[in-house]
Amino acid sequence: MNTPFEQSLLPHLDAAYNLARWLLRDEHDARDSVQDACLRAFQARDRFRGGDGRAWLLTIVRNVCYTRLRQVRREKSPEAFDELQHGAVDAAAETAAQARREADHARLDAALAALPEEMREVIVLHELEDLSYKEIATVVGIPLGTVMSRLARARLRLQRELKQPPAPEDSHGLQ
Amino acid sequence: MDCNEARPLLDAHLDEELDVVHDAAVAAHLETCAGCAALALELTEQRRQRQALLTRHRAPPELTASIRAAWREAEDAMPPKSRGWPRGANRWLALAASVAVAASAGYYFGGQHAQRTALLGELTAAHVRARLTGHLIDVASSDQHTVKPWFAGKVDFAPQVPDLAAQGFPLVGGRLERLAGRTVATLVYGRRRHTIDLQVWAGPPAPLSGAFSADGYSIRGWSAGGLNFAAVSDVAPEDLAAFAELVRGAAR
Repeated sequence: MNTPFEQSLLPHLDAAYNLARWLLRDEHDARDSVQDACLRAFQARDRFRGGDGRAWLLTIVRNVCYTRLRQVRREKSPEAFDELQHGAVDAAAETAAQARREADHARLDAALAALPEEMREVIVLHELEDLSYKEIATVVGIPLGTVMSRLARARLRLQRELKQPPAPEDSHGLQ
Repeated sequence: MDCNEARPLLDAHLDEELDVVHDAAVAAHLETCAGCAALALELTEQRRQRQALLTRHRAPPELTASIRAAWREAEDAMPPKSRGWPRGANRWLALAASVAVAASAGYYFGGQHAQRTALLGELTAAHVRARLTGHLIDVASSDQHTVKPWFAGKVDFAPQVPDLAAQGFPLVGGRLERLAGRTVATLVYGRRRHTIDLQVWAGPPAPLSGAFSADGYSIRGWSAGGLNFAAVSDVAPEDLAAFAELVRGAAR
């Protein structure tokens, strides 16, 4: 039998993992961070009373991820670019259409991975996790208007990345 | 509105995130400006591609298992007095139990609670089942004047079908469900890419007034005019609350 606490957070573990995986670009770091965030969520459960479990969990996951990113950057800078999991086209793709789809898929993933975190996270939250602007504002801790402009800029940047051959990423900050 | 005003709002318009006034202004501009309309099409196609092709990583099953184990362990490590969630729930349970005992057989409270738990289970099961089987709607229409008469003769009441498209909840259609041995009218509304089931059935007020969650879904229930209403969805609880308010407001 699940406790109410489990019931309100369990459905959102996929979203939590997806955000961590995209922010950290590493499977093991993502697992550790989600595990850590879930324990923190448990410890802080008194502050969560039946509100939006997804936004609440994602906020904690995001904080844990950013703390980890700061630590990693202090230890090894400049940051080593993580080789993408989807860099290679799947050899099992038999038909041309399938191969093209695999390639499109890899190109889009690579373009998103190359965006600065601030842009990457709004794309992940909006397009993959289907959060509203208001929910994103809560999770990221920025005003609604900033969500709107950041998402628009992130999309433009992503489309630009798609048109260009892969280049080493320049900066992690927002211009 | 001209192109310079419309373009910065285009993304939010396509995301259905603009307020009604700006949204209508952008829509009107798109009707008359071929350039902006073409851009809107391109943006929509780009978004479709992102949603179709970007990897959505899923939590590995062993991660889920290890998180559940960690929660159990943390729960067990707590002093018994503060155990449970939310804190103090045990005290309320104890109080409820003593009240129930005081109410002689205690069947009123116990009965209501059990009835509510069963109803919540049935409501979420119906919502999930409809999505799994793809049997979301029996009558597909965004027109309230098509959906309302469709229910005539199928249920023993005439459900109100409010038009909430302007508020961001377009009508998708309706279907019939069997819940707790009754035929229930289900109105299906959209909210961005989610759907909301609004279940309506006649009868004495069900013990379902308020906001609940079950299996990660949000439920809001109320009774009015001899009918029971339950909105079930995976949208954010505040969106569902806004939806429930609009439906209740439309009935007044």
